[in-house]
Amino acid sequence: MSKVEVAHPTEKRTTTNSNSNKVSILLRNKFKQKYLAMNSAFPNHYSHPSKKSKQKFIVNKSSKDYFKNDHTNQFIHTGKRPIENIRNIENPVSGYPKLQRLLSLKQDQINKYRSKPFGARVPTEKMVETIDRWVSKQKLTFDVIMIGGLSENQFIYPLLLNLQLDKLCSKPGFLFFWASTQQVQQLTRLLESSSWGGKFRRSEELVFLPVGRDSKYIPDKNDIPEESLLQQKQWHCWMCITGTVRRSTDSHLIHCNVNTDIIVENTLMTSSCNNIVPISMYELVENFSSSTRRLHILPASVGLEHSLKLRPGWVIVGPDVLVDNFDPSVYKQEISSVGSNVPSTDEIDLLRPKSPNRRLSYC
Amino acid sequence: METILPLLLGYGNSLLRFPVEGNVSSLFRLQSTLRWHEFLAGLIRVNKLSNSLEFDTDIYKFYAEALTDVEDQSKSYNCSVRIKNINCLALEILEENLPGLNVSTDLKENKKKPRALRLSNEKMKEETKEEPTFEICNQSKHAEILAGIDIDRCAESLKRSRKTQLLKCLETKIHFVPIIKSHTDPKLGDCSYLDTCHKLKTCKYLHYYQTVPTLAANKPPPPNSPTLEVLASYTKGEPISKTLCKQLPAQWINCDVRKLNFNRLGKFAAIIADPPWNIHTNSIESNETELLKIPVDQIQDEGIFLLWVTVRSTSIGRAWLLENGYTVSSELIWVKTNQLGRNICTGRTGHWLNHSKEHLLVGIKGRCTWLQRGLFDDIILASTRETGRKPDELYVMVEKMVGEHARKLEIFGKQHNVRPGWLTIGNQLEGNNVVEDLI
Ligand SMILES: [Zn+2]
Ligand SMILES: [Zn+2]
Repeated sequence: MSKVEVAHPTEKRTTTNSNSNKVSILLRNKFKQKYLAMNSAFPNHYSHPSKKSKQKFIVNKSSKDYFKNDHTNQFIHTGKRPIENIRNIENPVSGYPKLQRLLSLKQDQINKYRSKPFGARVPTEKMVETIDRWVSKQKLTFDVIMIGGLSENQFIYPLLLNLQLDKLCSKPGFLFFWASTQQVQQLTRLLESSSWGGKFRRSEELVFLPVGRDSKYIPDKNDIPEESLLQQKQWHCWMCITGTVRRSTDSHLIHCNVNTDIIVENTLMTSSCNNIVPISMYELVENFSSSTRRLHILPASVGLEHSLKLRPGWVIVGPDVLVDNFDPSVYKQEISSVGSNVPSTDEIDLLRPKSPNRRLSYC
Repeated sequence: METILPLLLGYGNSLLRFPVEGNVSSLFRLQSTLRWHEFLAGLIRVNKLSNSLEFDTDIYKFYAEALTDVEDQSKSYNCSVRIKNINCLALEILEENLPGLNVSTDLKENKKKPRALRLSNEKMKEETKEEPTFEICNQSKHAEILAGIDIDRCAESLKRSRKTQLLKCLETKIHFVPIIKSHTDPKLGDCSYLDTCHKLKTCKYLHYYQTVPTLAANKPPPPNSPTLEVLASYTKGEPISKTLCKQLPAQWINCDVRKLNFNRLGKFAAIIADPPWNIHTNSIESNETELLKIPVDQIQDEGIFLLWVTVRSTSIGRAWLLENGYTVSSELIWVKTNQLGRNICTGRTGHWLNHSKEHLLVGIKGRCTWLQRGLFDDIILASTRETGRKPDELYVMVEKMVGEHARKLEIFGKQHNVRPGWLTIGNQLEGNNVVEDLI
């Protein structure tokens, strides 16, 4: 540090600046001393010799006595972000062996019944036209459509407005739509105003939370929060449903309550893979809907910070897709041999959370 | 247009939202209208475009300006802090152009934060009493050993068996010790409800005791001064009332919110509402909620409105805030944890997916130059308590943003929500307690 201060000519000017500066430094030091005196009570107590003979921990048996860390206070004093304290980041279902077993059985089954990975390289300006062609000429439909990812530039309002999503998506069908906090307002408008919007009901709101100061997934990293009150550390994904599906009777189509509405960045995985959507998001979708016809639309370039990998069981369309192997007729053949839904097994059915019979589900 | 601009400029330069010609003087002309990071981004871009010599001299000029600017704000801050506050992009430029510049790791860590924000953070730290926090032990072996011995005499038995490492760990970290009863089947794993389980006597799943280092158990108040006085060494745009006004005690009014005369309440800097959303259909027209009837313009001219919403009510809440002149600039997520500090993942808490979080819409009305922005992430991590009860951390955050002295209102509050500095109104409160001359 000192090297810079001495070496730099401008430094002299600023350090020899004004008298008022020195006064405030004095004041500040005084304050510091006072502050330290006031706060010394707790560190001293911690190593107080009179406590030596006593046991230095206690056992709490009743929930009202439980000590809870105040992560907001901790953040103020240490800068440790609250999210970093979550203990099940690496294994979200730790402590729940049945759920763990269910998840692995479901992934096994999903892997058995899936198409090969398909990619369609389509430039941004050809996106609307391509989807139109898929709908009208090739009569393609998908049961699951995901749009965008962890990148602001994927949300292009005029383009999205003109996508024929209602025709591309079968009924019942599911839409997973990514947006940043700033874009949620536009997403609301899109669902209310576009020709296809009225046909999709907003059903869940998923949130992705980046972990760590240097996460590649922190939205708009270089933006100073001048307009927003809080620092943005989240991504939103709206799950919308079209058509009728009931969770109590349609277990061949959906399995509910397997995953949660939060995905916390799994730093173990993201250190080696910086996919435009977290892999756990694909898994969440696959766990929820049994459909094998899944499409992911990325309207814009994924940029240098993120990568785009094809995934078995999905068609991924976007300008940055490396393997351009999608052919609608080949795809239809592939799906007819794979089957349009992943069948369940007895053990999966036994383990999966079920809705209580009496409460009628509403859509 | 806003969304396409970054595209046009090329993704790598997405932070640059204005066109730049290939010379520095054009950029300096724009200087007064640009934000810091934009100016710096422009500087980098100009450098790439022109590769000109004039860049070097301008960098020095810029560097000098940066230092003066920061000094104006920080006044008493020493040199190293001043340099720390320089924007990350300036650092990149400086690293490139001043060979031999040794950027410390501390500097690198802070380089993402804008200068004003760094000062706010320092100030907040000075004004806030530090609470002890403890790590939670992650060694499953420790829990196993503790489960096997008499928990009330574990210290002695650990000493006898010379398990000093575990003993030491108990003195510094929190442990969760499985409670093994005759009806417990450890193979089943944890109870979804853990410490809030109502069927402890029959529930076969695992529940836990907690061990805590002693310091947390009898947190003593500091001997001389019970509360930390608010006296940071500089101010950052707060109103003078902060030092002149005392924080008001907790006030509450038991009332039917629909019938209250809001005109009498005065104005508030911050309002929290956790309305009873009664929504059974998806149609917005048919929704009638008490919140929508509140004449919010009578109680807030400028300030923040924090609205708890559900998946079904978020669009209605958003529309209502916009209608009332707010911009919804942020959304705060409460990430719910269980007794063990894990994000809740079971329990059929939602219709299609399990719900492990709740959403709070953050509306801002007016310019609010007094508002401390960017202090916190848009996340609260806190454990669940009684059904519907929201985390207290929110109050602390709001108090830091608008000031402890500022008038704050909670609508649809319950008795556990009353708090110094806040007026709480709702129909489930115990009587009234008002010290201000309101009614
Ligand atoms: Zn331990
Ligand atoms: Zn239980």
